[in-house]
Amino acid sequence: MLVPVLRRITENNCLVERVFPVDGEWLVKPEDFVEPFSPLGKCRFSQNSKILPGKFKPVDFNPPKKFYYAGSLVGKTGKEKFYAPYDGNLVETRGKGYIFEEAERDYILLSGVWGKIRSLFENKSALIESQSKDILFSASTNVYTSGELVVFPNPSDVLKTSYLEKFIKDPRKKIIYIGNNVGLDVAKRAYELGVSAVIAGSVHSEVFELAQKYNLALGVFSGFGEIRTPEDVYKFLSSVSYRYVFFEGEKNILRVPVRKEDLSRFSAKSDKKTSGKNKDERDYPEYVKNVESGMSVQVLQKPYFGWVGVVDRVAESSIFVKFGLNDKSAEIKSPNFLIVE
Amino acid sequence: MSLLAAHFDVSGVDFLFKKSKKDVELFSFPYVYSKGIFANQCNEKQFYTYLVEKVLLDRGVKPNLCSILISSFFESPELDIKTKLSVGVSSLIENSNEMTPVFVNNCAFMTEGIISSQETYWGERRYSEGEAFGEQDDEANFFCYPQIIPEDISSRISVDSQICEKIPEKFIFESGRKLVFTGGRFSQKIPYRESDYILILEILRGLGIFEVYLDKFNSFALSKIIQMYDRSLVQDIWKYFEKSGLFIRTGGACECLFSTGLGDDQFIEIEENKIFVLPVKLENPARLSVKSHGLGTIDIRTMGGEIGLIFDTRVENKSIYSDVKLLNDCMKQFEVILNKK
Repeated sequence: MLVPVLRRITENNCLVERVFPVDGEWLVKPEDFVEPFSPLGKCRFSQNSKILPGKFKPVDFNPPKKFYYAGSLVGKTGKEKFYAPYDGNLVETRGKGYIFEEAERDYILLSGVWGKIRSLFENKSALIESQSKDILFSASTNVYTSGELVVFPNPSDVLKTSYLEKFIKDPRKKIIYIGNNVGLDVAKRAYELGVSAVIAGSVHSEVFELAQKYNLALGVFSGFGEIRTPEDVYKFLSSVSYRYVFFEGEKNILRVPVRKEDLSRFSAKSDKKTSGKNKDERDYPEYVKNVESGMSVQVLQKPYFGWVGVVDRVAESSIFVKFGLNDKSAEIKSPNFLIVE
Repeated sequence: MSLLAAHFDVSGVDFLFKKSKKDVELFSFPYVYSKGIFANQCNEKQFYTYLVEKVLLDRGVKPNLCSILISSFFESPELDIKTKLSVGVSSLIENSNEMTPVFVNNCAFMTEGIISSQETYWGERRYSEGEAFGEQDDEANFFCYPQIIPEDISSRISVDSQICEKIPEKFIFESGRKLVFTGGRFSQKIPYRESDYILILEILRGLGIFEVYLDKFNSFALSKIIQMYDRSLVQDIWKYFEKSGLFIRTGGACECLFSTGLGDDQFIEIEENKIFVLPVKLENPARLSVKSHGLGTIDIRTMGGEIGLIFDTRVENKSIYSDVKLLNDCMKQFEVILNKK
């Protein structure tokens, strides 16, 4: 019985593009070796802005813009005073509204990965030859983002919002593993807080729909419903907590940069062509295998949906799987399972 | 030279392998490429190339020494192997004069002059008020893992009823035609085979008598593409189909006389809005006279089939799926016949 092989974490040689928010100047050159905290280049731009309410009235303002130091009074909205949250300029918009823009300051573009600069494109982007461990999402929204990975220790539902609000210094631009499951309220709160991406073991389909609606990066490892995060995935995420990672929703992967020496000898993907080689000469793993006793399988049949077990026995059109709870095995019909490696 | 015909559907891949004129093997791989399983390992082209190579190598045939023909629902997948012919199902349907193929898979319905595609889960927001939270999770999981066969009949019925909803109301089949029900929906090894015949009853539109064949191996597409390549290679396409029987849609109450000529004539009266199944499978043709207001009087000769004679006296086009009593009654009748086989 031929069955696909699911490999949740694969190793890849990859190209990572790092882009300036505005044109900048390079501090590196092609062939340079970089590490995650190596500065690639720098640029200057206003990194924060705040749109002020329609009823906002400025104090002592000369159009079209005026500079204010952080903490100085900028104006009022009704009785509410607005003080400059940072050094910046109050700007009058075309529609006679106001925006408070942070003053331009230096922005350092960091590499985020271990690798070698392959090329620099004008003053805009750098292409880095790197290597990564890619974690597969069973489903993800088609969003690309990157940020620092924060891993929550699978908190209970009650604590998830508190973790989001109180235990992260600044949730903005963070990619947060929230737990085995993310509810609608937590996903909404994450969106409001400006979280870069939310990842979890599973979500209900309504949460996914919400993420699609708001273009929020959301990825799940196990599927829809209330399914636990696979143990190997959670362990790996915990081991790379606070690393800069890349959420590639269209490719269904979370790309975690690693050092070259962190890769095992065998790499899952190869650029070489797949045809014209004998079975034994292939330099990529088998995508399908005959299922055998002792193999690990992920079950896609209720009531064990998402569970990982070990094949006890193979029948003509089904397998019997043990989940380690007791000696009993459950019959799982083909094709409601995948081999897990 | 050996020949491999492969049909790529939305939930599985079926193969017909012809090593010699007499050595023919029909088999299926009940999985498809999906990003939720393979995105971090390979793309669709690499996966299907690997699969075809594996299938051939397992049978001791080198891919370059085999004629490979592929058919698929809509666009054929790209392969990194040379193929002799690549055709979409719609072309195969158009080239079938001796029968009316009715192609059904989990997201589309296709027959002569009509393609009705069901929108995927992601295509529209299906969640509606009053619906329990998480009710759409199963459907979302089908999208991640398209090969899943639900173990519970209610999920199956839900998918089937969605297929039927997309068939245009005014669409009717021409009475007297030989209808071959084929496609991934019927080739999947689902545990409730009775649901196949209920789906056929739902799909059948228009009054009349229809000779129904069921293709459980997607052999219509496989045989047809081989015939397109070389007509002499498939002499008898009918041998691959199950002759299910006669489906008689009367449009109201009917009377019929069934006569085998052996003195055991049966007179049957069926009231309106009923489904009645008469198990008939004969060696020699028997006479059947059917009289109803909508159909008039029709005399035909029949040998029945694996199921027999199926009378459908529904007056309005009310779905079986929306009438629990009728649905349960149908299920029981088909179940009894299938269990006897």
